[in-house]
Amino acid sequence: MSQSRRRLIRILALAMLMAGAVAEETLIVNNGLGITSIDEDSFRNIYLGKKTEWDDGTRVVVVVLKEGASHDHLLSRLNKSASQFLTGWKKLVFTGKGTMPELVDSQEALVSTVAKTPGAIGYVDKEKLREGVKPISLK
Amino acid sequence: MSVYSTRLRDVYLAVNGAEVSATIPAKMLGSFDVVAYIGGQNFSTTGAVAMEYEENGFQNVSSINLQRMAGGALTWNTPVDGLRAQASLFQAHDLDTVGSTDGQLLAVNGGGPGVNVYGNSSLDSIIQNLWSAVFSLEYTHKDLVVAAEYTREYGKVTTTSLTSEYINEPTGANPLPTTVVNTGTTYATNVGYRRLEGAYLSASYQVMPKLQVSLGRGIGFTDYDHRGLSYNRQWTLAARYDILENWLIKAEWDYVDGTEEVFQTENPNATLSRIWQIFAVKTTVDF
Repeated sequence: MSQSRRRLIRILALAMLMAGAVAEETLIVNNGLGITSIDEDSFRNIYLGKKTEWDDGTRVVVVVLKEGASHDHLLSRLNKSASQFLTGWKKLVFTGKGTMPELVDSQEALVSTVAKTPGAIGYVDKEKLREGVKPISLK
Repeated sequence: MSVYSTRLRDVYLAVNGAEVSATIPAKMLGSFDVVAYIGGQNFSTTGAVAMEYEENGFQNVSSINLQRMAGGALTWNTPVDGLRAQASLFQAHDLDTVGSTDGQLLAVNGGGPGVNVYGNSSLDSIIQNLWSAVFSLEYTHKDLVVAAEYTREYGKVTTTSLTSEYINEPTGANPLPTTVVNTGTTYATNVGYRRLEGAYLSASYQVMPKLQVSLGRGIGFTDYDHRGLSYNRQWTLAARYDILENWLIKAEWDYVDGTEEVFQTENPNATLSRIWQIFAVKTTVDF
């Protein structure tokens, strides 16, 4: 392999890495919720099924991707593997202590579901934001 | 549609005992039908009731005994043609289920690094008083039937367990065989509650002499004190076709939001989601 070709591959690899680094995830909620942020405990409790209502009494509806980089990032923030995450939720479902999150195939579907579902929360690439949802920060 | 707990419906649907019934005319108010019953029931250790316990930690169910069940219903045939209302109450006293669970992992590394603690448990679960109340309303006008039901079920469940703990201690050979070392017994009592709630509204229409279609909306909660935990909201579209006088076929489509009454024993490896659908076809032949 020529030196110039190796250099081109390095540049392309670097560009891909930089593109990956630019992708940034955010928490989003349905526009109807009057919140702009949640704390770390609430974030964990919501995604692990321990918090089922927002402070205004609206039911929490968790929407998650079936797979993908954003979902992996969410799992790493929760310090759970994919199987631990699903097993934990199933345990809640089967003991009558929780309702399964809505699993969707794509980021677009996630945003669309959060937009049309009161009380919904999701974790998504910032680039995918659209009307009906709003990003919230993690305190 | 129904509002009964699917697993304990066998408890509600039959009784070995005595029943009295009467119809009381009430002039301008229409009439009242009264029924009361008392008795018991024999349960299979592999039936739906047993599965309810397997769902809740019983690996095997060896016996289910019910000391007594009693109930009654009051139906009001109102003066409005086709309108009926009913209230029913049911109580099961000392529903006692005995079983066991073996080889349960109790503590990872509980016997030291790499040595897990397991337990064999004998279990005894008693619902001292299981109460169920159902309120129903039905209106029939020509080919249209509109029905609604609401129910609540309450029971205090006390489960006691006697667990023999053991470790499989490696003996040091390669590959590592193990020797079972008993480490003691533990007695524990756990108290839980059944607080189910459900309701539905449905409309059925006889489109043709042999074809009936219906649409229903149902809701259900595992715990009426904490409705946000485990719920179920569903739309049901169904059709019934009477092929012959004693042979019918039913098709039903449900669009469900929620996972209440979704059981592990029926979905051991399923990928669950909050929104799901089911399409079912069944046929019934009467002999």
